[in-house]
Order: sequence, then structure tokens, then C-alpha cells
Amino acid sequence: MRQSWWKILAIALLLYTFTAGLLWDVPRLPILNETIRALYFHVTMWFGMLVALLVSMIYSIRYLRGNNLKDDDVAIEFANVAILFGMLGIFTGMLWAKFAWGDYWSGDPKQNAAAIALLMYFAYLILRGSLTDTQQRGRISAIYNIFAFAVYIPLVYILPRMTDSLHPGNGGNPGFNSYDTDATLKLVFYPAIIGWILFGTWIATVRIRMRRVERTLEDRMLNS
Amino acid sequence: MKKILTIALLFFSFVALAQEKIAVTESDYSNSSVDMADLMRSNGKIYIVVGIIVIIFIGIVAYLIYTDRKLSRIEKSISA
Repeated sequence: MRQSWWKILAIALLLYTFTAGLLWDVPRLPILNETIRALYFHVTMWFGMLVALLVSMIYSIRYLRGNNLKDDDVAIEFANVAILFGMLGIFTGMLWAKFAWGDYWSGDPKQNAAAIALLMYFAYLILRGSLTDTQQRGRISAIYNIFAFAVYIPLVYILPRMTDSLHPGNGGNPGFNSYDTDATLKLVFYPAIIGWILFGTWIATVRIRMRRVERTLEDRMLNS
Repeated sequence: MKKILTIALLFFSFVALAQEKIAVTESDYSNSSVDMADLMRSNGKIYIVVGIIVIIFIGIVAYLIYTDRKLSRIEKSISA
């Protein structure tokens, strides 16, 4: 059990999210009703995706600076976790939208932007899959990853806010104010964000270690 | 033959006994005088949903911990 305190913290925070998030009092708002609790699950997916993509981009830069394949492992696996969170975010959002806005897909600017962002990162996976040389794959995909992140931020977090959108926090009003997130919601919302980020990091680290073991074995096969 | 007869008679005697029992009626389900596990039934049985989600999450976490440990063992065996 080396350095496992943050894994325990992740489990504790998520157990808290599931119990307090479903049981505690929430504002009784029309249309939303109990679905306001999806804040702890749907919205946190996007925070998880954002942080995972940030880590992925930082390690892509590190890879370009040092040409160390270990950095490439981190970049791809955090991107994988980000895509997982993004897909879960899209699907949970569609279900929520059906009952809050009346349709699974309303062509809302943020919905469209999130879908484009996912396609952009699917392209990252396809790009990686199409290159066989590890150094070449690392280099080209790192450059793509950095540019993809530079597009992702304005696409999902800035542009939808500049037009009218069904999402709260868009169409001119700030995302975090007393109207959409009051103090009791934050008591679960913030721990939930940290919990999901740590849980995603855990999954990523397990897969990174898997990649490294695989590489060690391959190197041994080649050298023996 | 004697055995089979005994078993058959025994079987019928059980049926006869069963008929003497008090039947469960609709009122046994609808009464509120008997306390059952009512905490788990309050608030539209939301606690059940919470329980189900927590069980699923614990299952996934246990699987992840198992994978994590297995990987640690493999890492050890490779470095050794």
C-alpha cells in the first residue's frame, strides 16, 4: 500500500457524494425537482474531464521536451480517462435534458461543443493508432494533444457562454452564483468534484503502470 | 409398499394441517400497526436506491483495488 491515502480519500468522498448527494435537502425548484441532484454527477464529470485533459496536455509538453516515453504514457492514459468522463457527461446530460428541456438533444451550443470536443479527442486516439513507431507516435500525438486542448477550452468553456444556451451560466450570466449553486449544494458539489478527479486519476495511474509493465516485457523480449 | 403408503399418508396429513392455518389476507399488507423496516421505506424508498448505488460503487472499487494490487505484484516480479 504505497502512497494510497488519496485513493482512500477518493472512495470516502464518492461514498459521501452518493449518500449525501441523494439524501440531503436541495432547493425545491420547478421543472428541475429532484433532478437538481444531477449537479453532483453530471456536472462533476466535466470537471473530471477538464482536469484529466489538463494533465494530459502538460505531459504532452513534457514529452516534447524530454522525449521520454513515460510522459507519453501519462498523456494518453489521462486523455483516455478524460474521454470516459466526457462520454459519461454527454450521456448523463442527454438523459437530464430529456426531462428538463424536453429533448435528448436540443442542439444547445454547449451540447454541440461537447460533442465536437469528444470527436476531436477520438481523432487523437485514431491518430495514435495509425502510427506504429513509438517515438513518432509520441511526438505527433503530443503536438495534436496540445492544440486539441487549446481548442477545447474556448470551445466548451468560452464560446457557449457568449451565445444563448439552455445550460445555466451561459448567455451572459456567470456560471457560479447564488442562483445556480447555493451553499447547501456546494457542500456536496465540491467534495464530489475532488472525489471524481481522484477516482479518474486512480484509473489512469493503474493503466499507466500497465503500459510500463508491457513495455518492460517487450524490451526484454527484444533483447533476449 | 408400506413405505410408500406411509409417505403418501404423511403427505396428505400435511395438506390437512396447512388448511388449519390462518390465511394471509389483504389487510396484513395494508395495516400500519405492525412496524416493519420502515426507515428503508420512507421518502419514496430513496434509501434503497442509495443502497444500490453504494453497493455497485463498492463493487467497482473492490475490483479496482484488486487490479491495482495484482499490477503491483506483477511490477515486483518484473523488477526482481
